[in-house]
Amino acid sequence: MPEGLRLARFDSEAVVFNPVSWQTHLLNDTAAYALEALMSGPQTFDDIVTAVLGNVTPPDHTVEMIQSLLAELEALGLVETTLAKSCE
Amino acid sequence: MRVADLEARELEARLTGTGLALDFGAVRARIRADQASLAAAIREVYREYPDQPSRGFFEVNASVERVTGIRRVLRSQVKFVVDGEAPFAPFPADTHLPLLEWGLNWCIANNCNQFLLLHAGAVERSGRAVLLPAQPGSGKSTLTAALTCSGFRLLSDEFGVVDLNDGMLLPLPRPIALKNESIEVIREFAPDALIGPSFPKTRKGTVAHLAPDRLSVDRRGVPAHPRAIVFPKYVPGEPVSLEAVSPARAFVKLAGNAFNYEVLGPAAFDAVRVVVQGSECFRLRYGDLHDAISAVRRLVGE
Repeated sequence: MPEGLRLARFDSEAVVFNPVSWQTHLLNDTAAYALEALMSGPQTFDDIVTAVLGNVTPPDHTVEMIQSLLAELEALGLVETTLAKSCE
Repeated sequence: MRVADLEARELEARLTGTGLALDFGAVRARIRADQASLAAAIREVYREYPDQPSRGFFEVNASVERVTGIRRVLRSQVKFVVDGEAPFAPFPADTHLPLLEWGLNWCIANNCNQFLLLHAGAVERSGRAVLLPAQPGSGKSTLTAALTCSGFRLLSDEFGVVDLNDGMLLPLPRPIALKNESIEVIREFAPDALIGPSFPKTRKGTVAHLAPDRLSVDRRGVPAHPRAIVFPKYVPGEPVSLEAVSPARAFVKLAGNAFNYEVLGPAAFDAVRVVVQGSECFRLRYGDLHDAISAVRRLVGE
């Protein structure tokens, strides 16, 4: 996660400032929980899944959706994953 | 003494000499001009501003000057000059005040990065400021003008000036540029409103400027707490409606519509967060100005 990332939580949405691109992104609840989990430090994929599914109700988010979400966050430069290797 | 109290000759001498100091609150400007008709227009639309010494520091030093040489022979023109440079192509001389106003806006938007500059109208009533961010053509200026003619304090028609330290809105009252049909709408809405001369051949059609009222000018040093963010949209014939906007979406719209958000980066993010956290956010659609004003009044607790 890049240094200087800022996240502002508003109810079931959040806004994040990307210190790499200086762009601001709107996040849904799932992405916000994933990012909040990562703001405390590196997490395993299972930890992130637990953090998301433990907070989002109803818990209709699949593991595949969270994988896809992390890929999107990585494409934005907001997180760094080693997801592909851990899934092999 | 106020600008309106200056004799015409005295004002012209000031504008061609040391310059006229205009304290807008958040920003101070020193302007010069070499056309008597522009001096007369400035006297009308800046009538309530205090006459101040033209010494000291000014964020904006600008002038509107006659163009000399071959261009002037073809058609009388004026140019906007700031810090010795003319950033725009000359305008027809009979559109000097719109050129001055657009030029001042340009200077503020490009140079005043000590503030976050949202693209929004801003008014205040009962200590509660309302931001009116909107795209051109949405009726922002008309609504801002109507609100200031209805007892709201004008903070700005163009800039939501946010203090980066505490998220407060800083006043920057300046004449409100009314365009085309809006001029007559405000004349009918507030027959006593002081509207300067009309300029019919500008790039945006006919433009006239509503002079800020005395209270707004006199309180230009008093910041206001942002308490509501209203995205207005004038839709002819439509009944008034206020629809809640999620704070996060309001945040993104504010940031995307700001003049210098991407220049300031994290500081701007923090400032927008404070503004949004302290505000209710709405989308306002209206076809009648009186209804829109009643809706905004309710938002400030009236």
